[in-house]
Amino acid sequence: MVFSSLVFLYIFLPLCLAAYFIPKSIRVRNVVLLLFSLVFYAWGEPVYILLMVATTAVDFFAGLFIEKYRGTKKAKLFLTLAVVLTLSSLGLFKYYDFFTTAANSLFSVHIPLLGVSLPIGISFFTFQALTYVVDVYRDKVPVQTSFYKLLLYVSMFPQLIAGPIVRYSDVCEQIEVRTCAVQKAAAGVVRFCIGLLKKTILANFAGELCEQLFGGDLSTLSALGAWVGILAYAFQIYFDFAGYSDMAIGLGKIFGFDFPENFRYPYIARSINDFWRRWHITLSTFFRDYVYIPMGGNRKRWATNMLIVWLLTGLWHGASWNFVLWGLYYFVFLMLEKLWLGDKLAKAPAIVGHIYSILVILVGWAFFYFESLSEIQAFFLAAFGANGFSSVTQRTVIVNYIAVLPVCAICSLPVLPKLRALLARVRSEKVQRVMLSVAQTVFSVGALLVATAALVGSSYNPFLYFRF
Amino acid sequence: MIAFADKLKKQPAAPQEKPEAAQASPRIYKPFAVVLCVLFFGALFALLLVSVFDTDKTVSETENRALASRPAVTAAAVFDGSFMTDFETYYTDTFPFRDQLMQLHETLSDFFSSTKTSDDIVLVDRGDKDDFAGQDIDYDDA
Repeated sequence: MVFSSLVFLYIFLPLCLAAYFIPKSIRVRNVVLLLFSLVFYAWGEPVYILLMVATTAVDFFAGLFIEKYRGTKKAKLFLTLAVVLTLSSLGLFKYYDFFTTAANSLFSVHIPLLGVSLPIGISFFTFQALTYVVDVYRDKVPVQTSFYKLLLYVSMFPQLIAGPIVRYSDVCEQIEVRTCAVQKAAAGVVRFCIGLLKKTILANFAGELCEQLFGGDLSTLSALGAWVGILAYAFQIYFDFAGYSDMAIGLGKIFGFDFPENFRYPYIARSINDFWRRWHITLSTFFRDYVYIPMGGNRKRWATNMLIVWLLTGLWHGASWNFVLWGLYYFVFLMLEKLWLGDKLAKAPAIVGHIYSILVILVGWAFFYFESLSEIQAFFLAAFGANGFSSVTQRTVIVNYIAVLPVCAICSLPVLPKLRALLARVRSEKVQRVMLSVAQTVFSVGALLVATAALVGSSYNPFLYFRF
Repeated sequence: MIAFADKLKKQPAAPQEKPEAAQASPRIYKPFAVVLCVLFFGALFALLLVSVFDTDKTVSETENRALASRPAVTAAAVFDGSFMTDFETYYTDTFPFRDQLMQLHETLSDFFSSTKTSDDIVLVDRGDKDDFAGQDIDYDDA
C-alpha cells in the first residue's frame, strides 16, 4: 500500500487510528501498530511478508547470541552470519539477475536467471535490520528480547516502504515509552499534509511534463526539451521522495514517534558535498557509519573507501548499470571538490556554487532517469543541440505546463522557514500563535481536500521509489 | 587530511539533528490542535462511513463508462495481489462525491496544464470492463 491512495487515506488510516488510540496501554498500542503494519505490507506483497519476518528473525536471534557471547570471537561470528544472511536476501532478490546477466555476457556462459520481482521496500528494511544487529554488536543499543518489538521496528508502516532509514537506536526507547500529545499529533497532520501535496500535486504534474517530453522518440528531442525535461524530472523525484519522507515523519508524530529528517532543501546546495548532506540524509549517514568508517574511513585508503561507498550508493538505487554510473559520477565530483574545487567554491560568490551544483545535479539525473546507455547517449546529444534548439511540439508542451516549473522551484526553496521568520517579527506572541494555529488548521483541511481530489481525478499516480 | 571525511565525522549523527523549522518556533494553541485533529481525522472517518453505507454507482455518466465493481475475495486473488489492485480500482471508481472531486481536480489541473479541457477526448484502456464501448457515445459531441 502507498500513502497516496484513497484506500490508505480513507480505510486503512482511520481504522488504524481508532484501533491505536482507543486502548491506553502502550503494549496494546504496539501490537495494534504491528498488526496494521503487517497488513499494510501484505496489501502490496502478500507473499514476501514472510521474507521480512524471516530477515527480522535472523537479526533477532543473532542479537541474542551476540549478547550471550559478548567479548568472545563467537559474537563476531554471529554478527558476520547475520550480516551475510541479511544481505544475501537483498542480493538474491535485487542483484542476482543483474550480476548473472553481467557474468553471462562477460564469460559467455548461460547461468539461468531467477526472474523474481523485487519485494517492496526490501532495500529499506534490510538496512534497518542491519543497524540493529550491528549496533548490538557495537554495544550501542541494548539487545531486544521480545521478537514482536523488533518486528514492529522493522515493519512499522510509516517508514517501511520508502524511508527514512530509521536506525534502531533512533526509536528503541520510543518503542518502550512515547508520548502522544494532541499538539504533536496536530504537527504530524500538518507535516503529513505537506508531504501529501508534494506527492499528489507537485510530483505528479512535474512527472507529466517530464513524461510528455521524454516519452517520445529521443532523436526528435530538442535542446530546450531536453533541459526542461530533466528539470521537471529533478522536481518530480525530489517532491516524490521528500513528500514520502514528510508523510512518514508526520505519521510517526501522530503515533508519538520522532523519525530523523531525510531532506533539507537539497536544491539550494552550494556544492555537491553540500547536496549529499541535504539529499536522502539517512542513506548517506548509513553508508558513512556502517560502511565508510568501518572500512577505515579517512584514516587509511580513504579514496578506495570513497569509491566503494559511491559504487554501493549507486547500486542501492537500482540493480542497473546506469545507477552504477550515477554513483561513480558523484564520486568524481566529490573527489574533485575535496582535492581542488572545494576551497575555490567556498571563496567564490554563493551564486557560482549554486549554478555549479544545479548543473551537476541535473546532468546526474539524466543517468538516473535513462536506464540504457543508448538512451543516455541520445539524451546528451539532444541536450547539446544535435536535434536543434527547439521544436514546435515541444514548445507547445512546455507552454501548456508553464506554471509547473516556477511553482516547483518556489516550493523547493526554504519558504516555510522564511515565513516563520516573518511571523516571529509580529510583536505579540499571542497573535503569532493564533495566526499559526489558524493557518495550520485551514491548510490541513484544504490540503486533504485538494489531495483527495487529485487522487480521485487522476489515474496518473505512479510511485517512483518502488524500485528500491 | 581529508576535509570531506573530517566534515562527515564532525557532522552530528542523524538522530541528534533537529529540524530547522522546529527550533524556537511558536507552537499552536491546544484548542486549535484539537480542532485540527478532529477536522482531519473526522473527515477520514466520515468518508469511510459514507463509502461503506452509500450505494455504489455502476456507471459514470461524465466519463461514459462502466465503473469497477467490488472484486470477490478468493484466496488465489489475495495471494497473487490481484484482489488488492482490483479493490483499489473499485474504491477509487466508487468514492463518495467522485464527480465533484473530479471537477475540483479539473479546475486545479487547468492551472498547471492547459491541455486538459472537458472537450478533449480521453482514451482510457478499461480492458474487458469497457462494456459500454460504442453504445452511448454521442458522436456529434466528439
